[in-house]
Amino acid sequence: MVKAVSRTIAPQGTARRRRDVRAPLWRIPVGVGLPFVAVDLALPLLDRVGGTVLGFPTVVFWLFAWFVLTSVCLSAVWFLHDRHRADEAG
Amino acid sequence: MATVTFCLVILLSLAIALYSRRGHHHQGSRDFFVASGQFGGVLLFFLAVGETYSIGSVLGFPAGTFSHGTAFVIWFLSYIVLAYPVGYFLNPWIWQAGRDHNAITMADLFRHHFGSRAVEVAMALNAILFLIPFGDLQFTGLLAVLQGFGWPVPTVVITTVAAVTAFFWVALSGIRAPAYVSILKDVMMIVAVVAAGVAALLASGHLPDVRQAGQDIAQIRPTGREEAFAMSTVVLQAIGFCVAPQTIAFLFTGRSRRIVRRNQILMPLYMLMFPFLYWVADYARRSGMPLHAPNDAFMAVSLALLPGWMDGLVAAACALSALVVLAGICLAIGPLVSHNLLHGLSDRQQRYGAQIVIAVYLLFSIVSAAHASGVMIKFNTMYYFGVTQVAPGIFAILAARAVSPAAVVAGLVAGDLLSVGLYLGDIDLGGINPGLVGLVTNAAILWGGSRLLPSRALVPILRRDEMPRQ
Repeated sequence: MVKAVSRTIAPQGTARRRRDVRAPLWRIPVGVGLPFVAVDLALPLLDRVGGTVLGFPTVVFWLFAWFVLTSVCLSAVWFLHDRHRADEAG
Repeated sequence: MATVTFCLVILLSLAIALYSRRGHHHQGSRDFFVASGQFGGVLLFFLAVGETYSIGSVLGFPAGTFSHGTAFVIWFLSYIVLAYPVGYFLNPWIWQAGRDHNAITMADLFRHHFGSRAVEVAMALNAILFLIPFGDLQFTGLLAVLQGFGWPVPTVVITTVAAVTAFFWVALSGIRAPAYVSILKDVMMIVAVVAAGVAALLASGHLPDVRQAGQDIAQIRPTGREEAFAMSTVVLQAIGFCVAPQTIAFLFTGRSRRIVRRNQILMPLYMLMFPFLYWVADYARRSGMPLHAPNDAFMAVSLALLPGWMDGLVAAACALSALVVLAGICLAIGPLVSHNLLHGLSDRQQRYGAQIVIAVYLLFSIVSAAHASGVMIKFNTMYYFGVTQVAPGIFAILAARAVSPAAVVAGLVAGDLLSVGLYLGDIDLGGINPGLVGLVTNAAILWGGSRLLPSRALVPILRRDEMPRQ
């Protein structure tokens, strides 16, 4: 992804280059937004859901599931963008 | 047999601490405190998770779940799991700021950016003040574990041996010792937690259904006020988790931004040990086993359900959890005094000065564990109120905002006083965490201070992501 961007920015001006290589906005909603909505903002709703899943209260199971799903969200940001960033090398 | 297993594990930890010294016999203060920023992904990962999951997690989570049900589970787990996404974005920037300023401690960032000794001292004092109860808590947890063995040894002997062990690790090779020992500690802790959890789950099958008798954790539901508290606490602590002085010091041990960021992806998976601890709490509650205190739940279930040799392993894992965190806290406090508060010391003096500070801190923690634990527990409740107050200043640094040093100190003091005052005064704002109220006030003061001065002609670290490839 970054290789493609680099090719397009090479002959152009600084302002344009900046715009082109700007870290994409979707990183924040996917990396932090989704887990935050699912874990924090959804709590009042989930608290009112009764029953159990695999023996855990539903809200507790939901939290446990987000241990894995948070990792999935961060992996998506990493593999789709951050992994290719030059300033992350090293 | 349990005693033999326990002693073997502790001896192994000492051997690992000795091994960590290999090739670093003549450490400068930078190497002693932050390993010269040389840690790769594995060591940084184990140092970070090793210092996160203290004896408070292993004993405290089952205890809290046992006593308060889902209301406790929600806030305790939510803030940790959300701290990792916050850290994924924030930690690499903080690491970069540390590299730019050649920083050893969080207070160094403030000194360099704001150019003010007063700001540096204020940040160092704030960090030390709110870190003080941690030592006491580790000793208290350690005693709770070891008393389960019924060893005829006075508690002061146990805490002294623990303090000497932690000091020995630190004096040997600084931050390298807890980082290396963390690998053993985390492997042991996962084995212990999984073993206790599986044993509790299997044994639960033989228990009668007690849901109608109010013995079921799932029946303890949070109130509306508790929900508001949980939601606001999650925000405060997810931020505080990332800007705590010891977290920042550990970040500076990392070799690159890439390593710092990549580690955050795996860290939520480490939390998969909590379902096992939940099963332990569930079994303790449903079986109605007699406990002196809720903190005994984990050890009581382990002693009841696991074979003798495993008991020693579980206790050793808990003891290592306490000692690793203790060593980490010592290494956070030491340089805050010898490097930030006492200016002008040579490199060698900073290192030895920190060791003296660490010895005094350990001694203080032993005394407070014996005589003032109640006070320390109350103090510990306020930990996040204080450590999170550096967050607005950190953001100002990352955004390269010029802020009047007076505004930074005023914001910090106002945030601290308001949070602590609301808490100690028992003033309820609909369940909203007092620390969050203090944080917002602090940020508002800082923002006001930034309006008074023009922006610096620097590229903010927050915008470095957007720079073209060189």
